[in-house]
Amino acid sequence: MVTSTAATGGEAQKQAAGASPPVIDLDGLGVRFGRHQVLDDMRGAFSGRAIGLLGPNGAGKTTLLNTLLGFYRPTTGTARLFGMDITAQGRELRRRVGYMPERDAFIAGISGVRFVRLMAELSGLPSEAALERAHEVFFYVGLGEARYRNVETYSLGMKQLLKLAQAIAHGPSLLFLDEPTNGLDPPARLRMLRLIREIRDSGNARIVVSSHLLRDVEECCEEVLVLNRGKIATYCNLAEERRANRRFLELDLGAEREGAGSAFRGAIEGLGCEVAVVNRRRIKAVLPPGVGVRHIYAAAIEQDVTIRRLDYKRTSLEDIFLKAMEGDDGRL
Amino acid sequence: MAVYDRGYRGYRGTLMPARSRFLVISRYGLRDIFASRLFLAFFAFCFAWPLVLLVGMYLRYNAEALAVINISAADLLDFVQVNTWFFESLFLRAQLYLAFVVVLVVGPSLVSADLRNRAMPLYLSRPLTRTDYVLGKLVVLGVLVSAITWAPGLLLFAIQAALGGGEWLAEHWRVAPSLVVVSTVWMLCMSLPMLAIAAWVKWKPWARIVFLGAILSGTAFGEFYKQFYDSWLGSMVVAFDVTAALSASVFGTQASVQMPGAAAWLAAVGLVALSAALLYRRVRAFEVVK
Repeated sequence: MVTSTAATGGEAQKQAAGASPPVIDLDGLGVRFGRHQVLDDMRGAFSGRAIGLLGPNGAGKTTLLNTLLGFYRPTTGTARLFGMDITAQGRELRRRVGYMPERDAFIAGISGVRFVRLMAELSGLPSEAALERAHEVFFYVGLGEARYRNVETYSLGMKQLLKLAQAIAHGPSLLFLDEPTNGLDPPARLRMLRLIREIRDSGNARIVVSSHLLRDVEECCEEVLVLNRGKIATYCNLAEERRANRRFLELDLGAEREGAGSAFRGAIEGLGCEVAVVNRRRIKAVLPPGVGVRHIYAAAIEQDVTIRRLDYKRTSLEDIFLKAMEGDDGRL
Repeated sequence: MAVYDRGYRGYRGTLMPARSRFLVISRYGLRDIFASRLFLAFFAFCFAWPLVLLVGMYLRYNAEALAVINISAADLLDFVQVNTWFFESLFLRAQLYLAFVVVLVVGPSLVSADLRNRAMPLYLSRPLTRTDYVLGKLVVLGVLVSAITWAPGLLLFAIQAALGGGEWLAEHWRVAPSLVVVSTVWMLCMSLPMLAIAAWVKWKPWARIVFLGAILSGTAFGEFYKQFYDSWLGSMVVAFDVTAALSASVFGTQASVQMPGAAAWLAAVGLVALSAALLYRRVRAFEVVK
């Protein structure tokens, strides 16, 4: 079952989007291979520009992508992309979708540009347009100089970029990226993440990134679905989370005269903040609307208190992920 | 997304019809095959025999040309009988042997590399079905086999009809559709098993060896069965017997084997169905391990 946060978020997005359907709408989706239930009763609607699929190995991320692409037939429920059913309208959907598989995948014996051109033509582009787009995407992903080389001679990093190139050659409106930074060295990884952010920010394509690397997802996604054992363990809107985190403060106070700390706490409570005392020198506060950090500093000056450290208490994706992975007994 | 403007943009141009999308695979496949000069030379050689037969047909009706090479028209008329036998045995059978080599050489390279390099998810994530993929690959073999079997056959038939006149045409009209039917059925019977084996074996040389092995072992078993039980049932697994019986049933000639035409058709349909099923089990985006 989807968490209530996801359901609420999905409904809110549906309402906000008005008539436009969500990017991904999971409707009790389940996939079973023999006796093994790989995906189980997945529900929720997601409309972010970039949606991250997180989860440990075997959580069902790749299976979910493959099912959305029509590679596996759902055993229960269904899913819709842009309001179109993945089973009934699979062909039409795949015209609008670009897919970058996790593992090495290419057509042997042809040059990079010919490979991408073929892929674009298979997506429906006329031959000339496909050739033009193939050259363009090669320069876009930074492989322009290598486009006439045989794809078998590409390095691992180049093959990752090549897979991205073929996925975007036909200008899809939804891009599935399965572990896009796998096997990349740090500069190549940064380049890949930059490209993903650029595509996201262009507004021309929605992106679904599947990864087990929290940092990659955090850097390029706005919404995150955490999967565990074939179920949606939690849903998190990172953008909202970041905005909410701006209201949480953690303060370390310096040595002060007797009673100054209590007076300071009283002062910020007077501003409307909710305050929790961790210990004598550390407090946590939630800022109400209209109250900013400068008000806190002004109160500190008034009460002659030194603020040694002020942090926005940020719930990291790692916290969210680890919480989602916890069993009922609180163990991972 | 022009080169100077390295930003991402969608595509809003025209799209090609979805129904003919599989032909993209065929077009690329054919271009790759003809990139090999060795194959090109062999393919050109495949037209040598039809050319020889064409010259024979021409000479048969050209007394002046015969006089130049010092052959009497009567001798040639006796030697080269342009009839059903001419097209079925002299022309088509020889061309089918060459087509077998074409299927053996080209077939594995069409499928095995895609499966070995995990290209199937790339194909099938596009508006393309597994049937489109198989059809696209089959068209490659279909074009090559047709180009050396029924296409030159029909050309020879048309020329002979023009030279022989209406009487000859009325007597032998069945030859033309028979050439097409036998060539097409034979193409399916050879191509689908070859593609299926290539899809399972994934390595070109081994796929060829397994294909040849299957034909030879089938022949050996069938011949043994025929001798031991004195029954034509053994012919069901002998490719040459099936071809001969099927061809005779279509051309309406006397078969060189005892096998009935219906049994040959049954064997052909069974082989095609089995091969298609095996191929479909392999042509998937991902293996499902249950």
